[in-house]
Amino acid sequence: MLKFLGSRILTFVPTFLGVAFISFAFIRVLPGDPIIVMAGERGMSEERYAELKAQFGFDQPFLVQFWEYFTGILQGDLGQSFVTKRPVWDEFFTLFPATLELALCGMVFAVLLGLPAGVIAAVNRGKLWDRLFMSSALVAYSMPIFWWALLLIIVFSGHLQWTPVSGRIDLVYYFPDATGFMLYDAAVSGQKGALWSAIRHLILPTLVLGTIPLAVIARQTRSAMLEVLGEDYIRTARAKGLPPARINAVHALRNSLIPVITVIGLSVGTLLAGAILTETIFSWPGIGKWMVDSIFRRDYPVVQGGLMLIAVMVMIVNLTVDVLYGVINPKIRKRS
Amino acid sequence: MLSRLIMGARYSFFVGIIVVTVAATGGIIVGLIAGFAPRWLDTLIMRVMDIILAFPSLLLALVLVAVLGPSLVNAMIAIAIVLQPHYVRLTRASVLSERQKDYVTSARVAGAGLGRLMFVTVLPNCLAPIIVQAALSFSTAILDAAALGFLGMGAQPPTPEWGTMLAEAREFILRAWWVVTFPGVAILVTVLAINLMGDGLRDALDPKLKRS
Repeated sequence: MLKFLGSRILTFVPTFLGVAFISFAFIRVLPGDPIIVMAGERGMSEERYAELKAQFGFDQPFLVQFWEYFTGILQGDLGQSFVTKRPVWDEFFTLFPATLELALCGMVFAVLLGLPAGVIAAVNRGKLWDRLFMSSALVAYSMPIFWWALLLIIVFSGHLQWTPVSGRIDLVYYFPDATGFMLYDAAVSGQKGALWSAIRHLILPTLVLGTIPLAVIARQTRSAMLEVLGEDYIRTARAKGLPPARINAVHALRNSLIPVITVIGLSVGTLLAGAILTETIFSWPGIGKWMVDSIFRRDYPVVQGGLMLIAVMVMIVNLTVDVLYGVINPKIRKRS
Repeated sequence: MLSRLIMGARYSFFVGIIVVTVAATGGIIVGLIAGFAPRWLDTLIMRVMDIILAFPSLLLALVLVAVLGPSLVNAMIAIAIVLQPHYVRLTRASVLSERQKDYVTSARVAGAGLGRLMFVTVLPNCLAPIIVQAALSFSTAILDAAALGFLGMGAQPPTPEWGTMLAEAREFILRAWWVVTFPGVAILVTVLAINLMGDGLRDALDPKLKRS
C-alpha cells in the first residue's frame, strides 16, 4: 500500500513542475506589455518604465524569471495582483469557498438524482422509465450549459420571479464571512431570512452546474448496474428468493459503485475548476469568474497563479481519487 | 435570425471538422511515437500530456485564446490543443496492446521498417476506439467553441456563430426570449445528433464497450 501511495506521489512532482512552468510560460508569450497596462491611460516616463520593469524582474532572462517565480511558489509567494495589489494567494483563498460551496451543491444534486435514475433505468431495462431517463440524460449531456442557464433565468427569474439572477445573497443582509461558506455563515448569523436568501441564490447555479455531471453519473450507473446484474451471484440471490428490491439495492448497487465513484471523483475536479461559465453568468464571486475577469483585465500574476493553483487542485483531487480507488479495489493496487 | 442560424451551422461544422482532424492527426502521430519509442521518450510524452490534462480544458483554451488573440481560428487552435492528449492516450494504449501480438512480430520478421510497422501494420487495428472518440469530441469541439464565443473569446460579432449570437442576445433575455432560445436550440440539436451518432458508432465498432 505504501509503495502504491509513494509511486503515485512521485509522479505528482514532475507534473507539478510542468504545470508551474506552463502557466508561467503562457504569460510571458502573451501579447501586450503588463507594465503599460498597469500605467493605464496616463502613460509614464521612460525612467519610470525601466524602474518598474526592474522592480517586477521583467528585464531578467526568461529562465532566471522562472527560477525566481518557482522558488517563490515553494515559499507560498505567488506575486500580487496588478489590479487590486493584493497577494494572489490571499485572493484565491477568499474566493475559493464560494466555488467550493457551489461545486459541492452541484455534486450533491447530481448524485442524489443521477444515482437513483441510473438504478431505476437499469432495473427496468428497455422499458418506459429506462428510455425516458436515458434520453433525458443524453439531452442533458449535450446541453450547452451557458444557454441552459439563460433559459432558467428567463423562466424562473424573469417570468416567475422566484429566484434572483446574480450574486450569493441579497445586499440587505450583512455579516462578516467567518468561513466564506454563505449557507453556513447565513445560518449562523441569526438574521431572519438570510439563510433563505442564500439558498435562493444558490438554486439556479446548482442546477446549471450539476446538469452535466448528473447525466454522466446516470449513464455510468446504468451501465455498471447492467453489468453487475448479469453476474452469477445475482442469479443466486434471486434463486434464494430474496426480494428484488434488496438484490438491487444491496447486492447489485454496491458492486456497481466502483466505476461510479471514479466518475464522481473526476467530476469533482472539473466542477471545482470548471465552474467558469456558471460563475460568469450568475456573477458568482468564485475562482472561475475571478480567472475570466483577470484574463480580460490582463492581470498577469493572477492568471498565472490562478491557472497553476487550479491545476494543482485538480491534480490533488485526481490523486486522492486514485488512491481511494486503490483502497477500495485491491485489484488496481496490485496491477500498478 | 433564421438565416443567421443557418449560416451559423457552417461555422459550427467547420470548427468541428477542422478541430477533430487536427487534434486526431496530431494525437495519433504522437501516440504512435509514444507507443513505439524507447521508455524515456514514452514517459516524457505521457508526462507532458498529463500536464495538459491537469488544466481544466475550457480554462486552458480560454488562456490560450487570450495569448493568441480572440478569433474563431485561434479558438479552434486552442480547442485542438486541449483535445489532443485524449487521442494520444487512446492511441498509445491500443498500440501497446497490439504490439504484443503475433502478426506484428511476423511483419517485423518479414522485414517491415518502423514506419511501415507503425502506420500500415498497427494503426489500422487501433482505429476503432479512435473513430468513436473522434465522433464524441466533434460535439465537445462545437460546445467549447460556442462557449468561447459566448465568453467573447471565440468568433467576434457580427459573425453569426451560435455562441457569439447568444452572447449578443444576453442583454435582451427578459424582453425577447426567442433571440436567446433559438441559437441554443441549434447548438443542442447539433450536439445531440452527433452524440447519438457517436453512441451508435461505438456500438457498431467496439462491441467490447457496447452498453447493453
